[in-house]
Amino acid sequence: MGRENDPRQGASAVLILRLLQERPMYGYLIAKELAQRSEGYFDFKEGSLYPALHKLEREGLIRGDWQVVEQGPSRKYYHLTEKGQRALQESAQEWLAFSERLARFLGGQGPQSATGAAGGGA
Amino acid sequence: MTAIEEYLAELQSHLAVVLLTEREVLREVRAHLEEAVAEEMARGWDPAAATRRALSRFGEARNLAREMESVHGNSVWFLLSVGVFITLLVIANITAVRLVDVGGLILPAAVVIFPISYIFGDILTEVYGYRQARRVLRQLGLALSAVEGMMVYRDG
Repeated sequence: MGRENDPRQGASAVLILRLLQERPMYGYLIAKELAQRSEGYFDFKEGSLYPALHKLEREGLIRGDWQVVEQGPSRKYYHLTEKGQRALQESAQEWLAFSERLARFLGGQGPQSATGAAGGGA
Repeated sequence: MTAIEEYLAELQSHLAVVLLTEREVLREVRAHLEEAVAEEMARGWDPAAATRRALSRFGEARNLAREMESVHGNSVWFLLSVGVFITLLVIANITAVRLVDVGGLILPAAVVIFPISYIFGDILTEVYGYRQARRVLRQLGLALSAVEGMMVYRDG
């Protein structure tokens, strides 16, 4: 796929945590919501969602429980743990700070604003 | 075999994780794919095309297996079990010709050690599955037996 270095991959954990903050969801639903709410920007290969989910579960940030329904397939619903709640807050802060700095840095590459940014940083 | 079963079989064949995890992963992936196929069919695709589309959305089995392994990969316990198993096997082979006196009973020393190797062989098959156990036996077991054979031959 040539997408191994896609920066979007790195954000998958915080995106999942943010979605699960609203309500418990299963894998398929998470994939749909991610793609829909980002207007297709976060359209990971759906399979890659599961390693991300399992990693979060191993770290104790989310927990998955199988819900067996009489009709249709049984699904594994993931929900945010208390630890996950805290991790989400921290991680969201970091990502916001990161994206803001990145935008400012990349936006400041022009000749005039570069001197301005250097002056501001000093 | 349907395309989904084929996909699951391929995923399974590349996945080197504990059996319980393997079952869990396959169950989750199957549920996802079935739902994706149903959705594609609801959009008007025939079953074959719907399955193809669902699988392409999901990504390659090989990649998924690799990513899964980096999360659930074999722990130090797997290596430890393999190490102890192979060691016992080799020692049992070497000591098979040594006789020991156990309370008046003359036995090959290996009689004491060889059964213990079974315990570790069982751990490997029960926890990690036959596929992984076979791989261990083929690769490590054969290699070690060959080396051991050479050394015993030179010795003798």
